[in-house]
Amino acid sequence: MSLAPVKNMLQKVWSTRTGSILREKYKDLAGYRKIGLLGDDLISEEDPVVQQALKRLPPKASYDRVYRMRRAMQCSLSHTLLPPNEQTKPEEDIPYLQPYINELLREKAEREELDALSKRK
Amino acid sequence: MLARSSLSRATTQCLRTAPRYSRTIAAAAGPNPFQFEVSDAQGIKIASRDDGAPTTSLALVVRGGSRYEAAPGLAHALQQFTWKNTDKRSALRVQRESELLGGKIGSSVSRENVVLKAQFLRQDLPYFVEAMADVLTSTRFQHYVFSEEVAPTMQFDLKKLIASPSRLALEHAFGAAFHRGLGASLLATSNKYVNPGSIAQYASQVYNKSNIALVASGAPHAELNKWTIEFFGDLKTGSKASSPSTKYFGGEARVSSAAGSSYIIAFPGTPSPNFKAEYKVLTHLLGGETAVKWNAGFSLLSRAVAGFPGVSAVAKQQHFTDAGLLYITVEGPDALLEKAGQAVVKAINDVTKVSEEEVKKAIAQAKFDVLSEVEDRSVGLELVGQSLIQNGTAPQANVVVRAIEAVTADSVKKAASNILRGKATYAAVGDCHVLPFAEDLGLKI
Repeated sequence: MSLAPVKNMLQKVWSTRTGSILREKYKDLAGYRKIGLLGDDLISEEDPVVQQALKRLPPKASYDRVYRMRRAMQCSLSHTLLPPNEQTKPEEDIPYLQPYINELLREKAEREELDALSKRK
Repeated sequence: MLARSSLSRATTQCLRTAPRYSRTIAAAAGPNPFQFEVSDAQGIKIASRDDGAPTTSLALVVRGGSRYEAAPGLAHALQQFTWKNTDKRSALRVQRESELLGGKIGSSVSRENVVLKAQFLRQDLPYFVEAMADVLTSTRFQHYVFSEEVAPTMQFDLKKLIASPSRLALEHAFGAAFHRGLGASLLATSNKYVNPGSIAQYASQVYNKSNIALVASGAPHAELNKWTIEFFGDLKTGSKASSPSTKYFGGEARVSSAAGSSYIIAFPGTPSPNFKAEYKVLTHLLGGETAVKWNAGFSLLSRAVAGFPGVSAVAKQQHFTDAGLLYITVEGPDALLEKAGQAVVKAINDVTKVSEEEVKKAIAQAKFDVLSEVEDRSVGLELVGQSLIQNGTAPQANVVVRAIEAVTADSVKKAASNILRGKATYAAVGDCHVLPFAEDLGLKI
């Protein structure tokens, strides 16, 4: 049985107003904000597209990312959470990496499309 | 052996038929295919000529070359940022689309201009005019495009320059001759002042209606006018780029390089527009290049270096809006460079004693050079655009040819003694241990 209908339904719920409250709650419960990370810090790096996107980050964003990761690593080692004032606030949790990934995916799709052009008879 | 009578008959026949050829060209009904039609398309100067050929060469000249740049290297960076991502199309799409149409796109930078070029089949004019308008109005100066594509190509251009001692010598000759403005380095030697922000700022300064000209070869003027108005309407108005007027200083520069040895002897030349034909003839009189294979040539410089195997001395000239540079590039085996240089300087000094026949030969070569450049449709569009932006007129080949025909031996000698009276410019690049000083060659610096 395909899971597509379930997925569709979830996406619909997710994009409503109630969904956005649920979304925020889910992110909060995920706990990454408590160790000072942003949502985009959790994107897996083991991917050529993400690697390229990381290279495209502005130097400041790249530096901040490394800083957050080291701090989070330290929290994890010492089994502590950051004091509440240093934890990530919901309004700070912006997608800083995803736009670069989207742009790269768009470039890739465009290249594939242009490479696969054929002559119409 | 040829009989003298047959030779003279052939020559006289040649002379007799010559005017007949020129008459047939003039009489070939309709407008002169070399004549540029000039007009103003809502504030943008355009020029075109239509020889009816199946392909078109289009050049968008932007007055934003290295002499106008606000900080070193911006002109070069701006040139490398052309044909990159715009709001409407990605760089890749523009490239693939122009390939599909069978066209070629490119760009170049000079001391005066940044030029966008395209060559294509004549029915595709609207596409390429629009693509050029996109570059000017909506290029995205993205920081990662700079670091991934623009900066490496700029580095590569610089490496190519450094690998060529004669080009490097010319760069230093410009520096010694004009100090700032025209003397500024054409390419970015470092990225100290160059970043996406400063490039975008420079672009917004030079990409404006009164600072550009569109020149086409092989396109109907009405079409070009129509599409320019349609696609360049969004371009903002502004003022022409300006730089302090050029002063010729002259001087000496020596730079050591492992790439090889070469030096340049330069004198002030003639600007374009306001072209002085005797300087053009003088360049051809000095010459140095051969028109016939397996032969050193018979110009003054070719004869001067004939006794030095492997040495070449070639005179060329570059024209800018308010100055020009006539330069002689000397290249060859290290051991012969000094002696050859002395012979070259002697040949330059002897121009004032040149015979009438030599000048006639140079005039014929200059005429040929001008006309063949006009026939090669992609060459010379930049100079037309430069002149359009400067004073709204296009240099016409027949006017230039007429001016060249009017040159006399006396006017050439006068021009030569004029430049010899002033200070020369000398730039040597290579092995400084063997390269001569200007003084050794007998040059007045």
